[in-house]
Amino acid sequence: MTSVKPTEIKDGERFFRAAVSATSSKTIRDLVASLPVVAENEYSFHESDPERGWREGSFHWYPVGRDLGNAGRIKLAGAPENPIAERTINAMEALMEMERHRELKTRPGTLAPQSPREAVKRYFDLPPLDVLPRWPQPIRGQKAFDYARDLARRVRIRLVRETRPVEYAVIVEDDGIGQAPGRMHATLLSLGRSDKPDKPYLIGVFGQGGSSAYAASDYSWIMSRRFPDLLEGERDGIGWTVIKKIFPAGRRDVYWAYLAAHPDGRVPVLGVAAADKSGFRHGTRIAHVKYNFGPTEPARTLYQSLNHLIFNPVLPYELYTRPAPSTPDPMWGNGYRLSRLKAEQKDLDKTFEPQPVEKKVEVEQ
Amino acid sequence: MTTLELDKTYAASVRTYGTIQIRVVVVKPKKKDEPAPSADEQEPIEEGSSPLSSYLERSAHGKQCVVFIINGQRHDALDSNFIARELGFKYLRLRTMIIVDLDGLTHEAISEIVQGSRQGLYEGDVFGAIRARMIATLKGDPDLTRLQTEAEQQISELEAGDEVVRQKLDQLIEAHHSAGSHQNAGAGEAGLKAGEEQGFGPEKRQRVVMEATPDVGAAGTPPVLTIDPDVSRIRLRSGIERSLVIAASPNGHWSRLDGIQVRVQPAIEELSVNEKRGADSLELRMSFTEPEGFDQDEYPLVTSLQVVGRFKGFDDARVIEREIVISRKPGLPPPPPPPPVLRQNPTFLRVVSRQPVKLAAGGASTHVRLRWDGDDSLTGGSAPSWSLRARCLSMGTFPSIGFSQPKDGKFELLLDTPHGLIPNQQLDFEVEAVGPAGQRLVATFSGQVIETPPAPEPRRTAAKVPETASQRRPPYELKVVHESEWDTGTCWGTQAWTKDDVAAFTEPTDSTPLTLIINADAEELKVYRESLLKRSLDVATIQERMTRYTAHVAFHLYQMYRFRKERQEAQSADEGLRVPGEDEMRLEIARVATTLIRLMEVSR
Repeated sequence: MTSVKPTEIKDGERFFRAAVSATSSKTIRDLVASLPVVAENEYSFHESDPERGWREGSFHWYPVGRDLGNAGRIKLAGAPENPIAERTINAMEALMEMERHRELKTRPGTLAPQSPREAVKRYFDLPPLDVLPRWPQPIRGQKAFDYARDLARRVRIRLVRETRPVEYAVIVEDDGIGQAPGRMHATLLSLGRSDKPDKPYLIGVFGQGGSSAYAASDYSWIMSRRFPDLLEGERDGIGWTVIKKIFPAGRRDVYWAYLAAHPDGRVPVLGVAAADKSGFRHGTRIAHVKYNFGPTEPARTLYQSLNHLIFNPVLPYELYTRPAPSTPDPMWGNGYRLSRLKAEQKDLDKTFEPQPVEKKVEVEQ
Repeated sequence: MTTLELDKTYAASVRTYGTIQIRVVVVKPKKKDEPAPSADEQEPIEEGSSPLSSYLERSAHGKQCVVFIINGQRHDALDSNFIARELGFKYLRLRTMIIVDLDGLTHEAISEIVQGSRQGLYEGDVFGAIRARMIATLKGDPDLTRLQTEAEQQISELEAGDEVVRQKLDQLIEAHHSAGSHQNAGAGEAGLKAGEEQGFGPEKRQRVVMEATPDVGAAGTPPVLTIDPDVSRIRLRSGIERSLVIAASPNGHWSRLDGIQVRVQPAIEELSVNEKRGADSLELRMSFTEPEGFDQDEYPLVTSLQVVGRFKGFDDARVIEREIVISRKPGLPPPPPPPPVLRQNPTFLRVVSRQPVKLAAGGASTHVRLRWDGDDSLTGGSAPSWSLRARCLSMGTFPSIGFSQPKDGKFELLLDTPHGLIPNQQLDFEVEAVGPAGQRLVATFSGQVIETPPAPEPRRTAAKVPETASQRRPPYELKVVHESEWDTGTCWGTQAWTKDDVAAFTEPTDSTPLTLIINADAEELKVYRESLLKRSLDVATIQERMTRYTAHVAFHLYQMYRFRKERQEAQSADEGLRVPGEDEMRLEIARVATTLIRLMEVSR
């Protein structure tokens, strides 16, 4: 496998501009068509020998999670909004993970926060958002609300509406830790290979919730760049790939595959020069194109749905649902929204301190 | 010092799954055409029918107003049925949000319930324990109980007119069918012992006769005491007198009454019940007056009225019992008292619930109200400077006692009284607030174990009820349509209403009963209503006229439906028979309405 050279993208700067504006299925198909890609029925992945049939110099459709039977772990969503919530949670985790890595770099051996709330308190000084409306003290020299509003800009959800034909793209952006291109296949494009259970400060556990968004869209693309100080020996640059569904002849179910540049699963890379010129400093951008929202009009429903699904987010974020240029809606969750209601709008708002949950309370003779 | 007589010991062998935090929010009812409450007018929210609409995911996903969150993310939700059925707050279900934060559960418990899809918690032991805890905490919550009672009160006042119409209509229909007497007579009387005046002695368990449905006790014989209006629950508003009349049935038996006693149990000092005895009845005038400094949070006050009478010649006492529910004064709630002065160094802590606190063994948590003058932030946040704790002084194994978060210096502690304690046992409790420098505020209170009635369950029994197959009066639904609803397409099935449409019916289907619809804004009725107002008739008279109009028009509709149905059935045997069409029925009901209004005009 070492004899095979990774396939490279030429003119990375131009490609980057085309890639980030690919928000319709047609533009993605055109983008992929501009690359040397082996047709999906001309390369068949073999887990024990992925090099078999590989054509050097071309990109290949490679199964997400190195698993041709990945549909069972991707088709998990029962409603269109759920995968977006999962991606949003992943974006928040990317911010927390970045702060944790920076902490370890400056103070090695520091014990990890024991919960996401503790992590947010330690790294961002932010209280739970449902108590923010009553938070009296400034945070880091700013009014609490203004501080939180600034923080929200680091995670952005964009809904893009294409008109001819009408289709939607959902783009989730974070300014978090990002991934080095050489690690994307083992992290963002893996399924269930997660170290999250060992990190009590992260929210997710299974490491595959966000992947359910692949099933809700015709195409997805991912680009990610590692925070420069945290490369840990990995090559800098922007990793990029496209994910789509493949239904091979003779199979009973689909699988999802991404464009790989190497038989070990590595993704195409846009070099440092292109990355620097693009202004993409670190973080991850994931777009889900031709998103299947069913009969609902997402521009009207997404705000409510996400506020309910992420009821009391550990970090705030922004939602763009109107055509650009537009102002985003800051997203605080329904816990915050209910707290913000004035006293005359509520008959009751009452919280019970932690109550014990026990299986049985018995009295024996 | 109280001596306990425990015959059981509480076993603390309890499997613990950690803790949950429960928040309950009740938003104000939404008025017609009023936007849903929102903290920010710029929010891109969808308007919905309920005040919570903008806080739910979306209507297609149901009213997910009970949410379970882990690290801020929703993992499961229940709909409003949980609030209505499990908690019993039916009239709050559309404006209540319950947020259950599961972050305090143990890792083992979370790993049992969390699913990879995030679309539902595993409904096993842990989830069952969470639900049980939610019900225990919220079912007896005094604030929710107060809001539910207020909502019931408002609904009972709003719907009084409709109910009167229905009763009137039922009477008309029953009379139409020449229904027979419903009186159930039975044995069990000791016979006549005329001439002996009987008094009332000490309370004891004894046989009594009351008017009730056949599933209650054994059959008895008249006479019985009656109450008018015959309500199942007496609702009183503070400051408003309510009159009830106790009489005997059958008529004429009042003169044989040998003694009568009116009791309110448990007694409420501020509730007065004045008795005025008449020739054939006893009038009770009841009113509740708030004492000075009365805490509005005390509402609703619940007690019961018991009237016991003895008739000459009958051994068994005749009894009427009704629950009394006292709510605050009508109209807008009184202005809130000035905010309490809350301090960073609180000076007092006290129990404000009436004592002894009633402890329902094995039931929902008992909420004990507390006040202090500590700032709300003292016990909140990630590093609270003050802590609250409570313990049972009489019973070391009493389950741990939780608190609600203080708000304006008010909070509650929750007692989960275990099964097996003897009724009337007294337990003493101590609650303390401990400050950062060792400051200590202490309050004590006592509780009394009460007998918990067994929970209702399906029971098979015998009861005398009409046969469903031979029911004479088919079920029907009576609706009123207003001008704003004229385009709903319900006039004679699918048409829009006009000012000339007086009323219409919709035939029953497999899932809906016969629906009788009255057009409240029909032109002729509007003119008539205006004429009543112009003459400055009192409200009761106008109400009576409207009731009469509505009931009679509805009754005629009902007859039209029956006639049409009979004709349709008969038509299969005789094709020459004609079934009245909609146009004919429309004209017919308009004619009836006109005649009725003219009759009421001439008979005024």
